[in-house]
Amino acid sequence: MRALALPAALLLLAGCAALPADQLGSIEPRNRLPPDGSDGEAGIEVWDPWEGFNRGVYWFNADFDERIFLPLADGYRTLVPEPVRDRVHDFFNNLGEIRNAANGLLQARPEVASRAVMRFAVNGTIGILGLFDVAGAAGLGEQDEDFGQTLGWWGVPPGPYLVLPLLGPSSLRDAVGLAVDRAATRSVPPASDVTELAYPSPAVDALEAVDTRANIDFRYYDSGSAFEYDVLRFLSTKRRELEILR
Amino acid sequence: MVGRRRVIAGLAGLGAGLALPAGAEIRRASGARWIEPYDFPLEDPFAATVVGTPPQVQAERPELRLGVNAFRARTGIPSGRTIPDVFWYDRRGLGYGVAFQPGPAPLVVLVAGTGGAFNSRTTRILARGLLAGGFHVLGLSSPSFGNFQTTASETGVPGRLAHDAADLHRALEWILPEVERRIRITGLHLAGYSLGASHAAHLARLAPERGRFHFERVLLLNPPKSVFSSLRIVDALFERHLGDPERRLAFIDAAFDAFAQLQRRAGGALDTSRDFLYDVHTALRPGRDTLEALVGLVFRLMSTNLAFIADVLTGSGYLVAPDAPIGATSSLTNVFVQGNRLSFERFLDDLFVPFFARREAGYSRAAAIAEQDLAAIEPFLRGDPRLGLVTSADDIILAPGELAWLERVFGRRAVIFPRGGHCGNYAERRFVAELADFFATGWAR
Repeated sequence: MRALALPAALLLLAGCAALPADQLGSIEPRNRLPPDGSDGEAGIEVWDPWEGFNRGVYWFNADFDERIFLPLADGYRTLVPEPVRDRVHDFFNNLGEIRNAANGLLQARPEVASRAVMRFAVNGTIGILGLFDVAGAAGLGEQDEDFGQTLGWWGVPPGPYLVLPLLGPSSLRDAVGLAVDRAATRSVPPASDVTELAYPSPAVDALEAVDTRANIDFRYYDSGSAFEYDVLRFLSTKRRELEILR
Repeated sequence: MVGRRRVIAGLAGLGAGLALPAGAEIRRASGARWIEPYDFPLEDPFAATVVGTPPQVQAERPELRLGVNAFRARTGIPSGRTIPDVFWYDRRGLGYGVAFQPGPAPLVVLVAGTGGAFNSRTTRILARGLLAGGFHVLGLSSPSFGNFQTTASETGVPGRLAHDAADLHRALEWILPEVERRIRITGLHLAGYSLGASHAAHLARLAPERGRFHFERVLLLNPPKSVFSSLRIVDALFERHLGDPERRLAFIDAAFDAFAQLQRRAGGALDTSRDFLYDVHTALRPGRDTLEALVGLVFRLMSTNLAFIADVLTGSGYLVAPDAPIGATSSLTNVFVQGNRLSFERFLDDLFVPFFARREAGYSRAAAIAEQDLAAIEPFLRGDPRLGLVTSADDIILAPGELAWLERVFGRRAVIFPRGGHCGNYAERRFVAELADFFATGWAR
């Protein structure tokens, strides 16, 4: 499968800046940006020094999505009835409250942390181990906090844009955040006491990945745009800014 | 009466033939039916165009659910082209979508508008209305949509309506047999909205010559009269509001400030799932300038994409060198930024006309403009009883006099809504009833 040969190619691309398409070839195109940047900002710029690598990963992700991830998500949706899928989704969401609570505390926002704790407590008990989002139904809506946002909250800039394998658009800061969240919830008690029970085998992680994918509407290149990478880079960066403002 | 209409529209298949739209209308001297008074609350055509039908006047229609009443698929590459590396994702073939009835039913082939995909928002809204009326729907992407352009366009340069119609015909030759293997089809109709309406007219004209498809009824929804004139109107919106780089930056900032404001009000994440644009509109009441800028921006992004793909497929040297070895990891950011600065007319004069002039002696800008005007096929439009027209009197893509021209040419086969902007009333109750009634009876009464 071509998809599996790609990671090797990606390693070769690592660290490469991408060659700008308008500067390739033997002649100068008739309509071209001044290469010295003398014409000001376009407003969609994102710092992307590893663009060659990122575009390679984007390609890999789109390919992987098409061949493996989407068929799994589609199969999951076909085979598992919606009420059951909703329980799975609520269950993983509820585990995410551990991360939300910790990051609410780290951001010195007690209202965020306490809502996360309340949700976890209510859903974990009345909601039967998180299978039902009763707290949400009672008006305690979901939040989504992570360590990347916590860093951003305290003024850490996103750093270079980074497309993560399988996970998609991110930044150096948010990638570090992901790793910290993961390590902390899996190895620091009391969070690890819960996650040890909840994730007894990698199959549960795989189920979580499929659940996540099945709940995201995005399909690579449904936009029909050759500039999807550029547009998504800009929008995802802006979305992170909004999430940190919240 | 409204309730009864809804009930009838809901009887999939069975009721379709009986769903005579109730409500007020005026038969004008042209013969066209004007729907007056019309219960559609958005007075500003730009608001209607951007926001669509407000929830309180939407018809009840089934949701589209993949695997339940809808599927999407890809056929091969009808153009037979070797897809360049930079468009590697299109090597998977030409995409299409189907919304289907549980049993046998007539199929409406629906061609999307400028830059629109088979599953674009507008196509999905129309498909839900047609599902409610008892029809299967086959959604085709516009020949101006990237995936169609790379996989199904003979030349790689969309925009010549007769060429596009031939491309659509061939795409249909590939797709329809695949669809027939999955659902039972009892008849064939054709529809298109916006530029897709122009395509539908030309496809309806071409099909009898080819003898492969027999479209029983053909509906043009919000067509441009002159594609060139309409594109200029929309492109001018971009230049007027966003042509200046400072204003462009300010617009982007303002858009994100607006989202941040909405987010604070919502107290967390925004619900973008249902009627999101209408909610935003209700909350922020964007001014006319903002709406015009948005319409111009969407069009410009689309035309940049079309121009770049045409450039690569034809080696025109417009934005990139003909021999540029562009691959999946080349940076397209410069091209994107530069392309967004170029007007549609620049593309016409610098790529489109020269490309066809190299292939056809005597092809000129004037010829290009003339052949994109519905006036070029006026006798066909006047004489073919299969055709019908639905449009809005406040459609933003029509120049003064063009609505009157459409009304004159289509006469009794025209339904005009006083409001709705460009394709903005497609979920509204009366519109949905007229849509289903056209394909069921040809508006016979």
